[in-house]
This record gives sequence, C-alpha cells and structure tokens, in this order.
Amino acid sequence: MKRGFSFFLIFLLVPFSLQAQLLSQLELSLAGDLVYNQGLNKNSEADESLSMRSVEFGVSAPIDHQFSGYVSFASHENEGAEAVEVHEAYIHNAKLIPNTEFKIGQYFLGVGRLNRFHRHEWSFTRAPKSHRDFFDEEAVFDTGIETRTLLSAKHFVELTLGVTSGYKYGHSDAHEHEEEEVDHSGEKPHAPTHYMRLSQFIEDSNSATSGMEWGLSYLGRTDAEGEKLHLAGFDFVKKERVGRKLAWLIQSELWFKSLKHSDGDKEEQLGGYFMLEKGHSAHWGTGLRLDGLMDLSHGHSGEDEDSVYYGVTLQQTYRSSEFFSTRLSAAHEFQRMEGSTRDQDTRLMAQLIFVMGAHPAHDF
Amino acid sequence: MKILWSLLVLILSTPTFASLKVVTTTPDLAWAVKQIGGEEVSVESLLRGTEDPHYVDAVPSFIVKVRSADLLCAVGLELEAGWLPKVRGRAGVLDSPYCEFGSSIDALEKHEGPVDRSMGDVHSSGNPHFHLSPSYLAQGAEAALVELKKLTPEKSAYYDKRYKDFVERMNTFEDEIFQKLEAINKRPFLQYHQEFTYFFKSYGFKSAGSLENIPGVSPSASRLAQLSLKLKDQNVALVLAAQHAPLATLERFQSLSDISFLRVPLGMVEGKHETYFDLQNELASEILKHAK
Repeated sequence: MKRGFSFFLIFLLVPFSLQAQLLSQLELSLAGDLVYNQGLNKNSEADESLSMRSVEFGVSAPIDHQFSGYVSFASHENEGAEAVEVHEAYIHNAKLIPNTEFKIGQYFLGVGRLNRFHRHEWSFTRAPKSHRDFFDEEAVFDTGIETRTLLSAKHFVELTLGVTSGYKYGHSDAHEHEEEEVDHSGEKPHAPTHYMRLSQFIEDSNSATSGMEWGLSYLGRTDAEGEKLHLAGFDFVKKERVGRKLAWLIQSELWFKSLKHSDGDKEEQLGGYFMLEKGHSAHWGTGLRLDGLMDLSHGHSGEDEDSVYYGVTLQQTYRSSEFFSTRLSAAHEFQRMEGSTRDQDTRLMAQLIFVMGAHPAHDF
Repeated sequence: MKILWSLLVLILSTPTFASLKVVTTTPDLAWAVKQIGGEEVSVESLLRGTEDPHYVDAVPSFIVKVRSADLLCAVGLELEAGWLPKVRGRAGVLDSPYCEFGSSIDALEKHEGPVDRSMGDVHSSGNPHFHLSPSYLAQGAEAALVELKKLTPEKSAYYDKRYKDFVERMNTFEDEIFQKLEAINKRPFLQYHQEFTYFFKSYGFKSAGSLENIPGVSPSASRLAQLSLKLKDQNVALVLAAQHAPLATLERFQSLSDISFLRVPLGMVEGKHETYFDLQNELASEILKHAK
C-alpha cells in the first residue's frame, strides 16, 4: 500500500516539477485594456458600454541557442461575445545574419508607428481615422517573414523588409470593423503583402534615453479580386525623458493610400495625425491629437468635392506605475463635404490598462 | 622585393593593440572596467549618467552598441529589467559574454520570501544602488574581472594586478571621504528613495529611513505629514535625493518638516565627472555644505 502511495506521489510530483521547470524558463505576461465610450451627440457611434476591449496573454522564451519565440493570445469583445485569437506567434533570430534580425510566423507588420505596437501600448485610446481606414482599429497582422537590417551603425539607420501571405488584410476577428477596406476574405491574393520601412534613430545629446526616430514606409498588395493597394507613409516620434517623467512626446504619421479596383477605378486618400503630450510628473500627462483624412478621389465616388475628415482629441493620462495607467479622453470627429459638416461624432472615452507578470519591455 | 618583404615582416611583427570592446549600462561601471582592463579594453557606457537607469527605453542605438561589444556589463539586481533584456534579445547576444556587478556584491536589503508588485519597486535579490559606495563598486567589479580573464586568459595576471590596485585605491579613498564626513555623520539622514543605503553604510551615516513609503511610489501627502511629525525632534540633517526626484514633493516635505533637501547625481555624469573620485568628492562637499 505504502509502495503504491509512493508511486502515486511520484506520479503526481514529477509532472509538477517538470511543469515548474518549464514555467520558470518562460516569460509570461497578461495585459488588459478596459474601455468605456460615451457618445455626446446623437450621431456618435460610441457603443456606450464598458467593455474589456482586449485581454492579451503573452509568452516568450529562448527556443534554443539561436532562436527565441513569442506567442500572444488576445481575447476581444465582439458585440457581446468574446473572440479569442492568436495575435502573434513567431520565431526570432538575431544571430545567423550579421547586423540582421528576422522573424518568421504571424506578427504585426513592421510599418509606420502604430501598426508595430499592441494597442494597449499606444499613447492614446482610439486609433486615428486614417489608421482605422488604412490599417484597422488595432493593426494589420499576417503570416510571413520580416527582416530588420542595420544599414549604418554610425547613424542608426535600419531597413525593415517583409513579405506575408496576403490572404487577409486587417485583423482576423471582426471587432469594431467599421471600415470596408479591411479584407477578411482569406483568398489567395494576386500579389502577397510586401512592405518595407527605412528608419533612423537620432540620439539626444543630453540623455541617452531621449531622442527621435523617423521612418519611411511602403506597403503593397493585390487581392484575389485584383484590387491593388499601395500605402506610402512617414512616421515620426520624439521622446524627452527626465528621470521617470516622459516630459515630452511628439508622435505623428502621414499616409497616402491608393486603391485601384479591378475595373480600373482608383481611390486615393491622404491622412494622418499629430500628437503632442506634455508630462507634468512621473504620473500625469496631458495630450492633444489632431487627425485628418482627405479623400482625393471624388471623381470615383461621384461626389463633386473632396471630403475631408477632421478629428481632435484631448486626453489626460495617469500612470500609477509602469504596470497600470488610466486615460480620460474627449474626442470630436467630423466630415466636411460640399460646404457642410457631416457625420459628427463627439465622445468621451475612459480607458484602464494593466499589465501583470513579466516586466513589460520599455520600447522606444 | 626585399624591401616589400621587410615591410611585411615589420607590419606583422608590430605589436597590435587590439583591445576588447566592453559596453556597460552606466558610466560608473565603464570607469571601473577601465581601471581593471587598462589599455587592453575600450569601454563605452550606454547611459550618460543623467538618466534614471530603471526608466529607460530600449532605444535602437543601444542595440547597435551592444551587438558589437565583446563584453556587456550591467548593474544587475533587476535594475535594468525593463530594457536590457529587450536590448540583448534584439541584438542577438543573449548567450554572449555578460556580467552583472550586482552578482559579486553582498547585497543589502535582500527580500526573503515571495515578492510581488504590491510591495512597489522591490528587488528580490537586493538593493541595486550600490554604485555610490566605493567599496561596493570595487566588489562588484570582480564580476567584470572574471569575464575579462575568460575572454583574454593570457592577460589574467595584468587584470589581477590592476584589480588589486583598484580595490586598494577605492578602499583608501572611501576612508578619506569617511573622515571628511565624520563631522556630520552622527546626525540622521533621510533619503527620498533607497538609493543611498550603501552610501550611508560606507560613510557611517545614521539612516532615518526614506521618504517613500512604498519603494518607487511617490509619497502621499499624509505620508509626508506623518513623517515630518515623526522626525520633528530627531535633528535630521538632510534629505538626500537623486537629481531626478520630484522637486515639488521634496519642497512640500521641506515646508512641513523644516528639513532641507539636496538633489545629487546618482552616478558619474559624462562630461562632468572625469573619474569616480570626482563624483564622490562632489557628493561629500555638497553634503557637508548643506548639512551644516
């Protein structure tokens, strides 16, 4: 009986010890992003509900002496139902090719600024109109290969090149998809998604952790129906950090989009945003974001004049620590067309972000 | 032809001064590694001394510098946990020569038992702010010595001798500063964050605690008020704080408690301190000036 009990104990304990050993080698993190939207005018599309916009669970670890791996699962609320998806799942290597790192798998495409970061890491709550139209409410991810090569060690110039399957464009789940440009058909494209970004980081002369980065990006894709998408963009970020305080943050993106339909019609849009945040202390920061999106293809839509979207967002952020922050924003968006103002959307947004587990990386 | 051969022989026989490239996270570590490695090493610090080493972004320039280093040295004890693993991962040097000064010291304020974030910025393996103490910094530099000897074993005797001299110089210097500060170290000193614990220990200061109730969390108004009442009759000499500590909080506490504060650099600042001794002399003279 005793012997049998010992075997039972060993049976129980061995898997647990192996499990503990495995867990001790993994970096586990969990990020939650809780949002409440309150419409302030009758046309507002704010859902006026408190929802857990996403909960993301991330795991990373070295795979062997050369490769490391990262997997993240995200749960999103979609019209009252929870949808779980794999956000990223890739292997990464920075050793095989000198001055080059690459990743293979599913990931957020390395173009522009916002698309390279998870939404809970953004400096504001809601994506600008141009990002929502050109990319997605969150970001475009796909499966493929991306390389990042240092072209100049002296001037910190990097070139990112990537090609992904292109079967889909946008986000795999359907949460908050207002924009028809997001393609979830999942059919074989005529030309896969291909992209590049040339970027440079310029160090601040007073502080090694302050500086600015600019980038030029291009993304192209021809979908299964022959629609040709071209995106060209410029992104810029400047951070001035004093001790724990992010004293100033300037962030901007400007994108040009061209979409040529299979029947020859062409749509062209120009859009972007400019964001300025002033940090008052290690905890408090006030930000202002201006958005714009101009439709340059009135001929195609049959409208007489170009339409222009404008947006302005004022926000106050409180960062309790690196792991918890809250943000209150007031945003107003509207469209101007043929001398009149249309589609006004005024809303208040409250956001709460928390991170548990592994220490989040401080990305520039 | 003979001339060409002679030139070739001359070139090949000329001793080359190919030095090891060492990258450190802070200027203090860079200076310490240089003291040990001498002309056999070239050293560069990622930070310039004006930053809070915990709140740093993994900027692209760090990745470039770390990628080309023969050896990377950090403070350790989780001080750089928010950015250095990211930098090392992206640079592809996770298994390259690496040292943490913190692994060689007998760290203070180690936490027994489980540690979680409700306790604030607690470092389970000990307080990482040892570099303000000359003797502790010298202890920590042993981690660099070990790695340098592994990389160039033929220079081991050279490194050993320089390390021994370095430790002696640091200990002698600490004694000198101790004597300078002896005039005031009987009075209790307060610190904003636990960044001066090793400094206090090295120079025999009596600690009155820290202004922060939870490490890394700004003290509340009630904490400031309670502490000012508690310390009212204790003749506290000064509140010591890092250059980047919040001025408004320190001023508020000063107005409540009538205890003045002094903000000082927490490490060597590039362009300001040529040597670590310059930093220590500046700290000692500033403290002497303000504690009177």
